[in-house]
Amino acid sequence: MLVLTLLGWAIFRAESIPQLFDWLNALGEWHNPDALDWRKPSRWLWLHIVPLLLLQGATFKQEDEASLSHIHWAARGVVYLLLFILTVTSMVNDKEFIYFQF
Amino acid sequence: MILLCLVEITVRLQFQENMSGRFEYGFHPTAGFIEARGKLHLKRTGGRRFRPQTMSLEPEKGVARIFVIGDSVVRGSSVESSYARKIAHELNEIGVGAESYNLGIGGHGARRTHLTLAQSLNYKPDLVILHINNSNEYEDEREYRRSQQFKSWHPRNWPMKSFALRRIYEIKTERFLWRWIPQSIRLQHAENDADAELEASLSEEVLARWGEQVHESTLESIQAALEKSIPILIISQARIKDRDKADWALTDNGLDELAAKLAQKNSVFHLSMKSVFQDQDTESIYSDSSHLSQEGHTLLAQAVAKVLVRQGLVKFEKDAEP
Repeated sequence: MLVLTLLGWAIFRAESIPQLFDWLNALGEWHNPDALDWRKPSRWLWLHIVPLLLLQGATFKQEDEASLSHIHWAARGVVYLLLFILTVTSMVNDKEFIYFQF
Repeated sequence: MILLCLVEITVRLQFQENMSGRFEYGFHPTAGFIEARGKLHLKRTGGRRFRPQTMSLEPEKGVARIFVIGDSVVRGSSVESSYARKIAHELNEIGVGAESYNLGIGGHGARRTHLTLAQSLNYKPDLVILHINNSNEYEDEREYRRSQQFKSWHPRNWPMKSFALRRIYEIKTERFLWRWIPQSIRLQHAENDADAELEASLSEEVLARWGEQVHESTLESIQAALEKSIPILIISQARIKDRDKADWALTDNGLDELAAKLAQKNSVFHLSMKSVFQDQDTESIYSDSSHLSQEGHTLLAQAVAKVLVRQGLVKFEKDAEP
């Protein structure tokens, strides 16, 4: 389902059919000398992914990522603050997701 | 939220001086100029990162006060080693009472340099030296747009009205986003950003627009100085073109012609860096393609001092009025 979702995302995001095929071809080419280095950009992803993984870990037993009541109130406050900061400092240049194209 | 409010209150109370103009990115008219106890302090604060210097609010009689305004070339690696400060040493050595200050700020293009100059005129300089360059216009456009980014009270901007949150956002942008994500990718999503340094360097249209901006801002600076009857010396930047190639050359990038035209007015003078350095060992004068080595700063200071004496812009102490 994830793969189909990503494929659907690519179809609606691509500006043209040739661009869509370029993207799909690129998935099978790992040694393109013109490709941009992915290592530094991946750090940006990890900067946002790691806090979410930590949140998942902290609520693993509860099986509910919103369930933080088992954490001390002060620590819980810090978690909420960090989540708030991460959210508001990431939404500044947000662009609309693909729904507007439907 | 309580923690965030406490941080916000602390930032606003404890770091007020530092945060004032912080998000104007050099477009605040007075940031960095701090008056306290009869002194003017130039500080690295409020989005205007001066090299720290202090002077009296009232210039000393018989001592010519000279401000040198420009970008990182003027700023140099320290105040003392910069040509801005060395001008005073050169003049003092030949018996001219003078004090000179370095108002160079890295990355400032013509618009922000003009704002610095306009504010500096309030501190009674006898002469202003404006070092013009045209390689920082991208930074000026980008920072202007950043300064405008959160000004409206649209609800989406409410979180950024908090100094603390905005500073965190700024750190995240500058320390991580700009360093980690290639510009070619950032620009695809950066409608708020300038039209790309990369694109600009290839676009004749953008380069022409920037050239016009340098012309207009320099003209504004000249007019501002002349309105206060303060003479102005324009130094046009020269850089080494294609330094890594065998046939490198010194180029003024069109600035000599611009400055020469502007210097046709009374009390406006021009000194071309290219003409100063053309007979010198250029490679030892520059530390890279644009910035000067210690030797370069010294040579330029000597050339400026000669112009000031020749044009009668400074007085020898023995000739000064009692």
